[in-house]
Formats: sequence, structure tokens, C-alpha cells
Amino acid sequence: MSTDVKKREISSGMQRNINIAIAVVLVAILGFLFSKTRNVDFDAHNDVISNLRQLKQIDAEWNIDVFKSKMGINNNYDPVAQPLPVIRELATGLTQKTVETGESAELDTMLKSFQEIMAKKIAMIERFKSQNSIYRNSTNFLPTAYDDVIATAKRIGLSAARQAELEATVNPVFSETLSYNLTPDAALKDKLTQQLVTLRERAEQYPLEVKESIEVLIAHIGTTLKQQDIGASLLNELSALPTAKKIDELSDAYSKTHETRLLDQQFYRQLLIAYSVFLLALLGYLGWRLIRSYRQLGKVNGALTQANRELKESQMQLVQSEKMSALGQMVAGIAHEINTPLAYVKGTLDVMKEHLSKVHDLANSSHLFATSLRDKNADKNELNTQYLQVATLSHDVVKNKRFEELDSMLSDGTHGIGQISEIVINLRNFSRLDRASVANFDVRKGLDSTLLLARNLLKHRVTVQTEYLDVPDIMCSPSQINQVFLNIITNAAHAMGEQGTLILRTERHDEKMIRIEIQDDGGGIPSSVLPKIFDPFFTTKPIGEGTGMGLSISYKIIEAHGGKILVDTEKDIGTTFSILLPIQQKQAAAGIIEDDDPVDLQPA
Amino acid sequence: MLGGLLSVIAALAATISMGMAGQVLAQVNEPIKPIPLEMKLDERKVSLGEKLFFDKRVSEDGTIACFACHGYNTGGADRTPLSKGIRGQQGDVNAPSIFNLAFNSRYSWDGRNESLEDQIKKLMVNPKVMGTTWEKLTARLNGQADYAELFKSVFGEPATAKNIAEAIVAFERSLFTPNARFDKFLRGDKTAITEDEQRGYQKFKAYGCIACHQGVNVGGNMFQVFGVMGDYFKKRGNITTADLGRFNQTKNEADKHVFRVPSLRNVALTPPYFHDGSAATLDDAVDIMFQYQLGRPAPKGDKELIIKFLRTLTGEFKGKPLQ
Ligand code: HEC
Ligand code: HEC
Repeated sequence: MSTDVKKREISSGMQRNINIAIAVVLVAILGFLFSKTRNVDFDAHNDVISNLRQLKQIDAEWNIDVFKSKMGINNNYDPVAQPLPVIRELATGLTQKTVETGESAELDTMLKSFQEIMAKKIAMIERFKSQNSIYRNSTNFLPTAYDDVIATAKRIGLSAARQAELEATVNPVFSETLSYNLTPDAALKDKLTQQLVTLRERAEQYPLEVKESIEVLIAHIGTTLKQQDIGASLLNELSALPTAKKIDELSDAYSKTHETRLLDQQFYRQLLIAYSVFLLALLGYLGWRLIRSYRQLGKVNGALTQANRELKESQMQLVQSEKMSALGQMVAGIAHEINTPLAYVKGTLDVMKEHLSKVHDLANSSHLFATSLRDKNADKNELNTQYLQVATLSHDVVKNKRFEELDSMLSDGTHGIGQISEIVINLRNFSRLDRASVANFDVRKGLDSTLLLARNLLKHRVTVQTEYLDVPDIMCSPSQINQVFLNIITNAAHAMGEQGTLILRTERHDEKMIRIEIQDDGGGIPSSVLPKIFDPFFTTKPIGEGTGMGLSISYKIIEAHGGKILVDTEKDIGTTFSILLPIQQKQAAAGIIEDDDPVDLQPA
Repeated sequence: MLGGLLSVIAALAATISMGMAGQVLAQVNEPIKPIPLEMKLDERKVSLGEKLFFDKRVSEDGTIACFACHGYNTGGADRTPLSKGIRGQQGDVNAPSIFNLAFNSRYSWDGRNESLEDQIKKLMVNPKVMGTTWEKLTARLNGQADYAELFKSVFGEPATAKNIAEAIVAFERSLFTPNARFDKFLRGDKTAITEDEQRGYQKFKAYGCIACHQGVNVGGNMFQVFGVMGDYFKKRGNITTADLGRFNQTKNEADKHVFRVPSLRNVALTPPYFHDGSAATLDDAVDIMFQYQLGRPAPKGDKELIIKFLRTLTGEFKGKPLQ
């Protein structure tokens, strides 16, 4: 490969990579725009909004339940406790959905602040429950505690005066506590706190049991006051907690982001359309270019096909003419072969004609003499001369042994004709093989009939030795293989010049192949020529004597059979062509050189 | 708002009609509500959770199953003051009952777990209970042919922290004990509890136990200081971290010694009592409640009536009264 070609390949490789990169970028842009138009998740948005709506509703109901608990309408805290898991679930759902629909910093902070407030509310309501239950408990318990004080005093037998005094001390505190519980008022609380201190001091004056019951009452009044305060501030704080507002804000924010996303989506959709148009245009341009180069390619292709067809035609012509030249040689050989016995038969016939004219004469004079003998009026002299003539002629026939001659000439003629018919049979054999293009074939027979055809070429100067080892029949096209043999043998004969020995060998090469060797002791093939001998049109013969196609065709034939031709040559020692041929053909190797409509050598 | 108003009206109407019709109607406006008779649950998850609940392979060293501390025959708890976890380690608190958890709104004594899922997630890795890690546990379960197959068929995937918790929680929700005699009473069967028991209930309400122990679970839905009206811990002494209660989580002074008000469902079956397991009998527990939550001594007769009432809270599990 020349460096130029290499460079071109490298740069075309680079070009390809760049093209791929450009295509990837274009597709990536398309994908990006496409994803941007998919970006808005309506379901998730609807979920978020309905989630928020539920939250708002539950939050509102929760407030009512807290209020009902405060007012003592709810007598247990299950309604206040139950929203907890629901709120938690909704809040986590909200966070998840926010992540799904795509976060935004603003939403994130709002969500966080909402969750903080919600957590605060949850904690406050926990406190409210604790506080409210204790407060209500103590409030409920106050009358019992008050009754207890009075009853204890009675039970332990406190004097009526002291009982009355006790009642007068405890009663105002008790009733003012009750009214404080109804209308909590700071002034009243101060007053009550003061009264409780006094009451605790006074309690010391009473017997232990009474004192203890007063202390229980004081403890519960204290609890009431304290829890009332805590409760009031808790409820104040609770009602100040802007959960509903936060939820509304969140809803607004979600809707706003959703809207912006929709706008974004619209924008990207338009961008996508523009981009698609651009891509389409690009594709159109590329398509146009492709069609153009296809057309060019088509033109070039047409020209090439034309050239190829012409080349093939001329190759076919060459193959034909090679075959004709081989045929010509063969025909010359055959003509010569036939000529010899033919001349011989002709000579014999000529001599026979001579002999037969004498016999003809004898027959004529004998006939004349016989007719004259029957004739009563025949002249004696005439008879005498006729007799003498017959005698002379028959003497000549007998003495010259003309009949024996004729006889032997007849058998000579028959022999000559036999030789001719032998040649014809051979020819017929050679040609009959042509009928089936692939057949079981004994290469030894092929070699023999080829030798016969080439006899003219070899006769007198070339000694032929055959060293055939047993080989199996092979599947092949016999006519083509014979053509190869003829070709190589002809070449060998030419190579050997005046005198030489041609050795033909057959042997089993291995399991699958047989080997045929054709060895001459000619001058060998010069090393400058050796690499070219199988090239088409290569010939060392003078113009007009060979086409230069012989070995090239032979090579193709053997190759097409799945075999090999090997050449082993040494200067002044000779050349050996080894042909390896498979015993079985992989597939029916018909039409090995395609043009063959085989030349029919069979006599009509 | 409207819904709230309506329910107020409904409640009022019910109270009035109850007053008019006598005892035949269900006691609709009582602060204690009956446990529902049925719950909808995914049975496949429940039975997988059940298998895990009884399986010692769940603990790190394979020695202990949930059942050890939450036995069916011991009211869903273990009748020891402080439960022993793997390698005989003593826990910090008493084991609460595994029954009726679905009706609590907070879990654990100090209420630190907002859901059963939270609870199970922490419990598995608690070195004093199961002492394992979720990686180890999932790997172990997925390595067992029986579990691998079960998880595949129930969840369509191998065991994960999430689905293990899901199965166990489903099972826990299936452990509810309806039809306590008191529930039958609430549903309108006046003869379901005795006169004394009814009086006990009246006392329970009158003394204010009901302020904290109310709702379906007779507790379990709020926090309270243990020692509202007196310092229980000062009296008991030897204060531990666990005694700080909710404070451990919030670090808020106001949450010191704050605990979840426990459910009193099946309470008769789960001695000893309190988070520290310090009250050996119901009698002791009610005494302490009187003293520290109500700020008054318990009159003996009333206390006994209350205890009688508490015993009517024992329900049925799978149709049989709990023992
Ligand atoms: C070593 C004994 C022990 C074992 C084993 C044990 N638990 Fe517990 N469980 C406890 C204790 C003690 C508590 C209370 C913990 C606390 O409140 O801090 C508890 C609390 C619970 C609670 C919360 C109950 C409530 O009312 O809040 C649940 C639920 C629970 N366990 C389920 C399980 C499950 C499921 C298993 C098996 C995986 C299990 N436990 C194994 C001792 C145990
Ligand atoms: C101010 C709220 C409050 C009041 C009122 C209250 N309790 Fe309690 N109760 C609690 C708390 C909190 C606990 C858990 C204490 C702990 O173990 O940390 C508890 C625990 C108990 C227990 C033990 C439960 C267990 O499984 O360990 C019983 C029994 C009980 N209370 C009965 C009563 C009775 C009876 C009354 C009325 C005389 C009453 N309580 C009044 C808050 C209260």
C-alpha cells in the first residue's frame, strides 16, 4: 500500500469519527429538547395540589377537634391524635412529589418552613393534650375536693363554729376559682394566688386530716390556675400558627412553578419544532447529496459493467481461441495419425487394382474362350489363339500369385482401416467424456488418451514413461482436466526440443487428494519467467503459436476443482508440474470455465 | 367547620336519646371506645410477619424471637420488670404489650417513635434487643430458602429493610383484642359487666384516670408527666436515663419525665407495671397513679372497684379470651 493511500485512509477514518460525533451531538440536542418538553408532570402536580387540599382540610378539622377538646365536647383525645399519621403521610408525600416534579429552591424553603410550622403545631398539640387533660381533670375534681374538705371536717367532729369558719375561708376561694375558670382574668388570678397563700397558712390551724384535704384542694386549684395559663397561651400560639396560610402559599407557589414550567415547556416545544425543521432540512440536503452521488456512482458503475462485460467477452474469445488452437494441434495430430494408415490402405488398394485388372483380363479371355468352344462353326485357329491367351493369363495369375497377393493386401487394408477406427474410437472416448460435465474419472485414462492425441508431437523424439500408482477415480470435469493435461504435455514437448523423456506419474497424495506429476527433462523455466507463467496472455512462444492463455486457464481449471498446480523447475534438468486434485468435489463443480459449450468431437 | 358542627349535634342528640331511651342503646358518648371487631389487612404480609415474629433467626445470634418478650400468653408482654435481650443483656425498660398497637398514636414508653415502622427500624439494630443490622438481616433472610421464596411471592422481590418492616407491621396490626367485656358493655350489653365493675368505671372517670387513659386504647394517645401532682422519681430514687422520658429526644426541660400514657387494654395480664417495671401488681400501680397523677391517696374501696373495672378491659384474641 502506498503511503498516499494510507494517508487517505487515515484522513477518511478521521472524517468518519467527526461525522459520528456531529450526529451524536445533533441527536443529543434533540433528546435534550424532547426531554424538556416532557418535563411537566401533570399527574404529580395534581397529586401535589390535591395533597395540599387534603392537608388544609385535615388541618382545619384538627383545629376544630382541638377546640372541641378544649371545650370538653370531645371526651377523649383520639380525634386529636388520629390526624398525626395522616398529616405525616401527606407531608412526606408532598416532599416526594416535589422531588419528582423537580425541585426549586423557592419551593424547597417554603416546604421546609411549612414542615417546621407543622412540626411546631404537632408538638404544641401534644402539649395541649397533656395540659388540657390535667386542667380539665383538676377542674372537674374541684367540687369533689371542696366537698372532701367539708366532709372531713364533719367526719372528724370539728366544732360547728370551726366548720362554719372553715367553710367561710374555703368557699370564696373555691367559687372564685370556678368563676376564674369561666372567665380567666389577670386581676382575679392575682387575687386568687394571694388567697391560696392565706389558705395554706390557715390550713396549719386544722387537724391533720382536714389540713391534708385542704392541701389537695389547694394543689388542684394551683394546677387549674397554672394549666389555665399554659392552656391559654398554647391556644393563642396555636391559633397564631399560620399552617393554613402556609398551605395556601405552598399551593400558590406550586401552581406558579407549574405555570412557569408550562411556559418553559411551550418555549422548548417551539424550539423543538424549529430544531426539527432544521434537522429535516439537513436530512433533505444530505438525501439530495446522497442521491446525486448515487447517480454518479450509477454512471461509473455502468461504465465499469460495460468494461467488465467487454473484458469478459474478449476473455471468452481468447479462451475459445486457445481451445481452438489446442484443437487445431489435436486435429493436426489426428490428421497425421489417420493419414498414415490411410496412405497405406490407399497404396494397398492401388496395388490391388493392378492385380485385379490382370484377373479381370483372365476372366474376360476365359469367358471368350468358353463361348467359342461351344460354337460349332468356330475357327480352329481362332480357338487356338484364344486358348493360348487364357493359358498365358492364367499362368501369369498363378505364377505371380496374384490371388495370394490380393488376399494379403485385403488383410493389410483391413488392418489399416482397423488402425483408423481405433483412432476414431479413441476420439469418441475423449469426446464422450464431455457429455457429462462432472463425472467419475480415472486420470490415468485421461493421461493415456491425451498422450495418444499428442503422439504426433512426441513421436520419434520423446520417450514417454508412465509410472502409475493406483489412484481412485475422482469427481471432475474430464474434458477440462484433459485439457490441462494436454496443455502441460504440449508445453513439455515444446520444452524438450530434439530429444527427451517425459515421465507421467499418478499417486495418492493423502486421504482427500491425488497427485499427478508431469515431468520433462527440458531446459527448465527461467526464474525471471517463473512468476508469470500462470498470468493470462503470457507466452514465450512466437506470436501466432500460442495465445498465452494455456497455463492460465489450466490454473483456473485446477483451482476451480479445488486443486493446486505446483511447479518445480531447475535449469537444464527439467520441469515437473504437480497437479493435486481432490477425490470428492465439495459441491458439484460444474461450469468451471463458464463459456464452454463443449466442442463436440463426436463424428456425426 | 360544618362537619365539626354536625358531629357536635350528633353527639348531643345521642346523649339526649340515650337519656330518654334508657340503657338499650350503645354507650356512644363514653370517653372510652370499643376496639373494632375487624380490621382490613393483607393476609399474606400478616402471615409473613408472623413467621418473622416467631423466628429466632431474626436476632443477631439466633437466640431470641420477638415472641420471647411479647408472648401471647402473657398479655403481649413478658412479665419481667426489665426484659433481657440477646446475650442476656438487660434492657432499660419494661416490655409493653404487643396487642392493640394499631390504636396508639405514638410508640415506646417515651413516645419517640411516631410509627410502628420507625419503631421496628430502631428495634432491630438496638444492641440490647435484636442487635443486628439491616444489611445482615436482609442478607440472612435472603440466604434462607423459605424466606427467599416467601418474600418473592409476597412482595415480588427479595427481602429489604422496607418490606421486612412492612410485613412485621402488618402482623402487629393484626394483633388486636376486641370484645373485652367492657367493650360489650359499651356496645350496649348492660349485663356484660357487673355492678361493681360499672361502679369501678364510674370511679375511674370520677377520680380523673379518664383524663389521661381514654380513647379506644384507654391511653396511648398523649404524653403526660409521670408525677403530675408529686415527684415520683424523687421518691423512687436512682434515676436512670430512661426515666427522663421524652426529654431524651427533645432535650426540652418541660419534657423531663414525660411519658406516653400507656394503654390499659389487657392491663390485668401485663404486670409488672410502668416503664421501670417497678409496680409488681395492679394495686401498686393504681396507688402510685392516685398519688402522683391525681395528687391524693386512693380510698381503698374505690381503688378495688377501679381494679375490678380494669380487669374488664381484657379482650379476646382470635375469638378466645386472653389469659
Ligand atoms: C428483649 C426483649 C424484646 C424483644 C426480643 C422484642 N421486644 Fe419489642 N419491646 C421490648 C421493650 C423493652 C419495649 C419497650 C421499649 C421502649 O419503650 O423503649 C418494646 C417495645 C416494642 C414495641 C412498641 C410497643 C409500644 O407500645 O409502643 C413494639 C411494636 C415491639 N416492641 C415489637 C417487637 C417486635 C416486632 C420484636 C421482634 C422483631 C420485638 N419487639 C422484640 C422488648 C422486646
Ligand atoms: C395525668 C395522667 C394520668 C392520670 C390522671 C392517670 N394516669 Fe395512669 N399512667 C399515666 C402515665 C404517664 C403512665 C405511665 C408511667 C410510666 O410507666 O412511665 C401511667 C401508667 C398507668 C398504669 C400502668 C400501665 C402499664 O402497663 O404499666 C396503670 C395501671 C395506670 N396508669 C392506671 C391509672 C389509674 C387507675 C388511674 C386513675 C386512678 C390513672 N392511671 C390516672 C398517666 C396517668
